[in-house]
Amino acid sequence: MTDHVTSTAGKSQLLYAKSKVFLHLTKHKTGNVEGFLTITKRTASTSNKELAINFIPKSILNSEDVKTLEWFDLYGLDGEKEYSPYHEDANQTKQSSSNEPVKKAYITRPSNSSSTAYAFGVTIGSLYSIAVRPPSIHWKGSIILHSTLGERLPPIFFHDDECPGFKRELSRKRKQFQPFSENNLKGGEIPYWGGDRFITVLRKYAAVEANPAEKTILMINPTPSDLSTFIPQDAIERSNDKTSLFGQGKWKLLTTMAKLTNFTKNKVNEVAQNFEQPEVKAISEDFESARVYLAKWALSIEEEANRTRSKLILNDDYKSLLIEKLGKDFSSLVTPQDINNASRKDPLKKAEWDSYFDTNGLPKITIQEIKDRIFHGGVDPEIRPQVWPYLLQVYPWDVSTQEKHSLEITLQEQYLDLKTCWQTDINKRETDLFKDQKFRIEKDINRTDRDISIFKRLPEETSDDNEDVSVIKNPNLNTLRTILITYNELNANLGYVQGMNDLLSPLYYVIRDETIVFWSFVKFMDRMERNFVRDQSGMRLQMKTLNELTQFMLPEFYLHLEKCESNNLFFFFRMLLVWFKREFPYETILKLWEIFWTDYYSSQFHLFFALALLDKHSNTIINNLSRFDEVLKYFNDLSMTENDVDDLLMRAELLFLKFRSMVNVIDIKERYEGSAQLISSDLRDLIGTELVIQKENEPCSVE
Amino acid sequence: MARPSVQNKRSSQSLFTPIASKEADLKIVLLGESAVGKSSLVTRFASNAFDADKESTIGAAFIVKKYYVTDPETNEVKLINFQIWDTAGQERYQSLAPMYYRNASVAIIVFDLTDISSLTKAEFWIAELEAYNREEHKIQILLVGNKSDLSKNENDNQISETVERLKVPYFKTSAKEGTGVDELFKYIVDSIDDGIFVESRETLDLDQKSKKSSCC
Repeated sequence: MTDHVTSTAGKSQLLYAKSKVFLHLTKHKTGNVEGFLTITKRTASTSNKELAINFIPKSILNSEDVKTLEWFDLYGLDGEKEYSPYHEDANQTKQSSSNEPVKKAYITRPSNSSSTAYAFGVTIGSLYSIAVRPPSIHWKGSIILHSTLGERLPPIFFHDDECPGFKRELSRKRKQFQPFSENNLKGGEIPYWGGDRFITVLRKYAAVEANPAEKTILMINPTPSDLSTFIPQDAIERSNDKTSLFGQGKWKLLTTMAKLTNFTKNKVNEVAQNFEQPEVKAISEDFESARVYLAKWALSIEEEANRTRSKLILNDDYKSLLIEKLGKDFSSLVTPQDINNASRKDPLKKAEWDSYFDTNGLPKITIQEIKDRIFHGGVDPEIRPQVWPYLLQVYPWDVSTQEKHSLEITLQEQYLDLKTCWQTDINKRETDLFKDQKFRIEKDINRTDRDISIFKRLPEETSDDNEDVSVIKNPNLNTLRTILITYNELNANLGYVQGMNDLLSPLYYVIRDETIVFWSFVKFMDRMERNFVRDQSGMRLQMKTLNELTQFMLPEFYLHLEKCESNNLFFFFRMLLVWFKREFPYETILKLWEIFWTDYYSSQFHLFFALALLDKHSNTIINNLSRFDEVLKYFNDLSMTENDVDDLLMRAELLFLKFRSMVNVIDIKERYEGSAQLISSDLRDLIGTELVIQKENEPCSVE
Repeated sequence: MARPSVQNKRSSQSLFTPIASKEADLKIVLLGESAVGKSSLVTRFASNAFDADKESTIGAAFIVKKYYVTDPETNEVKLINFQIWDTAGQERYQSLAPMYYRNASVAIIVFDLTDISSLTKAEFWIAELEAYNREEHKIQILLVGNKSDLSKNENDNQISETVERLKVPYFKTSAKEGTGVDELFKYIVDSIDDGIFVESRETLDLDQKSKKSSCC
């Protein structure tokens, strides 16, 4: 206990103070304990590791100390100058942003008797990590200090809206045009909040590094092995904010992960080392006698699958390991009821969306929270035209209304330039390549979503108009044509590929503004181009990854598919290529795509959605179907509804969470044993939210 | 050999569902330039329908169709399980084509009578399949000129020259109006080698059913 701040009476120098921080001891406000968060230095010779971080309840402080702390919160680090325009004595209270005190201020250290009144503290030297939970519309931002002794310390909540010191910080930030967090916990998407300054100040006195496994855990003066392991279990369990359904899953997962700590520290050596590799199943080369159509393309996926199969279909050791580590918590995660209650929400409506932005059009809550909301509920049709360009990153999230306006003008000009380029260039229009591309586009435009009202065949159109496909009488389809041809100018290598019209049509249906539709399509194609590259490698990789994912997550079903000679998952080709557009009603696709675009869990969530589809139908198929053509026909003939989408999204989310936890458990095992990588990098990439981008490199020619 | 009469199960289903004594699987692949009417031909054959606004095929579609044939002399009913791969026309998906025509018994190469450039693509496919057949495979190759309802015979000379040179059976169809489609599939059925028929599962099912009923 010598490391701890003993409550010897006396004065300490303030290095940081924040007012209006609270302990939430019960669900009700009456249970809140107001106090100050401080960093203090006992004597001039006190080292950084001996600096104390304290929560001091206001009730135990004398009025002089309260005054000092409130002053320090307002001016202690930044000075007073800008708020004292009539005082010229700037040398006394210099303005600073160095996060060091502008002048020495002291408070009385809490005495022994106060330790029962919820005061607590740790020295930086005994601080192991800090769990950081930025604020959201549903909860206040909070931090939890984890000491190396593993004590249970309660979360400290920042009531920024009540805190004068924070309001001053925020206005200073705004003046400096840095409206966003300097800690970049989640890629700089979180608006500035009270905990940020604490971390910034702490960085002056200690090395603070995000835990690679969970970015919201900051490790204090970590050793390399600290960074490779997990967080102490006890503290984080307490932080589970049960009053909010939002983020429950994630917080639950954190708890699950935290439980792994004991495993990493104590039990890993007890785990059986002996992994029996099942014999790799011989690949039948006898295609002539096979009932199935197999070709090189599918074969290569299958061969790859056979190579990974013995690894990914987990043997008993892995299974019991996962049950041991994840079993209990997973049983609560896998109840469909649980997911049903927690996961799917009503669509995001206009009033709620508007409330996310301040008067300048800047987001007031984190982008991750907005995405969380959209991921779990989708967007009301009324505001889709506004929301989609953000989701597709046509507009950055942090663009002000005015900046957005000038951005729109630029986009308009650029689009017009591209369009005019092919519309007016006679020589270009006469080339075989241009004519060939235009013809291909027109053939498909004429048969794009004709069952949707705005694309319907007009009375004056007869089906005989098919004779000359360049005559497109429907004005909406005409605009689609213009956009596709213009996109070809921008991305000349790719060329038009069938299916791109399917990707464009919903964008136009929702957004309508030709310019914004065009740029939304450009952004959508950034992530979809890999589906259309000439050598099909992008599709192949996704099929292979889905295959591995199925082996890993649905091993019994995979073995059945193997028996049916369907394990190449060939029937998913179209679903992956145009993101299930042909499988679901049009309106449902709008919802599905906006959920995929959030990249909330993974930029390749569509693969988990595909996995969910397999999961949902696995029992029916195992019990009833045994032949390739039967399985193929079964998936071909699936006619799905919006209800199916909600069910599948819940399953997909669950499967993702399970996948991520399984990968974590196996990672730790492998790290300790130095064994080979079970999880391929393609599979591991599924946890990433960065877009996977693959461009066509070969120039386009006449086909 | 007497010519068996062709009977569409759909049309006779309500009155009489034939029980086949023999059956065979027949794998067919459709290849050809985009928008020539491959899917429409299959739809006309499988469900006797036409949709002018049918969307483009992505990847490939797989259609199964049960087809009953009665031999007028023996009254023997045979069942043909058509398994049809309807492929996407665009070149970008061409690299996938071998997985569809591999193991196929019949390849229907389709072009658009009103778009002479689609005949060039048909020639390409015929050449590719003939090359494949030289490796001791035997896919029956048929050429189909579709959209005869729209054709004003403007390309007839060039088409007959090409057809003559290619030496493959040639059919003119209109998937929209249904003309020529029956003839095409009748030809395919007639060409089926008797040797591929096996005892029908339907008969087996019937045997099992009668066994059940007799023991109860």
